[in-house]
Amino acid sequence: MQPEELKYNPSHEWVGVTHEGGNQIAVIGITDFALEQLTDLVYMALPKVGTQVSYGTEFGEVESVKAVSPLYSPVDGEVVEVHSELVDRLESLGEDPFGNGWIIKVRLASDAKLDRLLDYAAYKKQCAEA
Amino acid sequence: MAGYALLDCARSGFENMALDQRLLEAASELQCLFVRVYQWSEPTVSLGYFQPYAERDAHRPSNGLATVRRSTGGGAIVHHHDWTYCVAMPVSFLSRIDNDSGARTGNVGAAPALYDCIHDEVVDFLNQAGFAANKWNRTCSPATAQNELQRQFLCFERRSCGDIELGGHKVMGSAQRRGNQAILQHGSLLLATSPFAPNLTGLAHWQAGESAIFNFGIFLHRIASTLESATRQELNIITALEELPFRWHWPIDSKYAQDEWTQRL
Repeated sequence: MQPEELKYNPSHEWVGVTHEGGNQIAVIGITDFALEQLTDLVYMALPKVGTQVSYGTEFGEVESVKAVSPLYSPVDGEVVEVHSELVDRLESLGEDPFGNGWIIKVRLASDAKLDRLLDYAAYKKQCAEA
Repeated sequence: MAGYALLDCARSGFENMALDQRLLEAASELQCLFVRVYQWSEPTVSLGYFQPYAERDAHRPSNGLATVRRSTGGGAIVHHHDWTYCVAMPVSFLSRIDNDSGARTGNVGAAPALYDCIHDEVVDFLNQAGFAANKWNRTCSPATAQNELQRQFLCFERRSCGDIELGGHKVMGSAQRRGNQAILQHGSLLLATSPFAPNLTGLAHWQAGESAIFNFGIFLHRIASTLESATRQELNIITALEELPFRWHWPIDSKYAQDEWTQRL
């Protein structure tokens, strides 16, 4: 996915929306900026398929440099796919954070409210000011 | 409002963890900085948040000790002869911490700044007490070698940039839990070798701690002082839980006392 086409949580998760079988599917990952700041990831905990997630709540956790950080969902919906192979090769996250570094896929709730997320320009501005 | 720096008494493992959790919540609710230094009422193993419980059983010297799981990352610590500290602060305070890592403040990039803030002060404290301690600042790459170091069971057998070492032995490390609203940082200063972790070497090995400045109260004052300066928030030094700005009651149902939490991995 192209970063310019994605939406962003202020807490550095990205989301891209695709359409599969009549459903809106949100593909979610964490940004290159966050990965650079976190440095070496050593652990990641992910939700199970079927978990309900909602905007702003935790869906997973990562540990880097002895710091445990939550991952926050940018959307409401149900987890339909988890990129579980990532847990054993976290270094690959940094190789393609907006593509093969996706973390979960979520079937969006009917009222997705994606407009409350940042667009690319607003997210880059936030990172520049951090 | 002013923050609080608590010179606390020794408590059980799960009471220590539950109290630190409450401080984290209070930091968020009250937008207030908290510091606590403490010891443990019995030798206790604290596991890092992501450590498998099976690794705890495999560490034979500490078998049989009380065990808790921290909410912070990093490796296991055998709390026997150590001073432990906890800092709980609102995330908004992190941007005030201005040091070499200051350009990376903000939530995700804040870890180095808060680690450095505390560790720089403790190195100075130790140096003044006669210990030739310094921060471990070797290049932390390649990542694979670094990850291997991070997988040792005991925190004090691991190495991360910024850890405090003395004579090649790690004597202090810290770890964090970061949330949207507040951050919790734990750290431990290893005073002496414990029979429950006989491979580790504490400060007593160097026998330099005869200085009058090397005491628990000054340890708190030094950490509190550097945080006051870094965050520009005044801290009240207190010695009793009743002086905290919230009511503390012993949480019998705390997750930290439950096997479901301690053995969750």
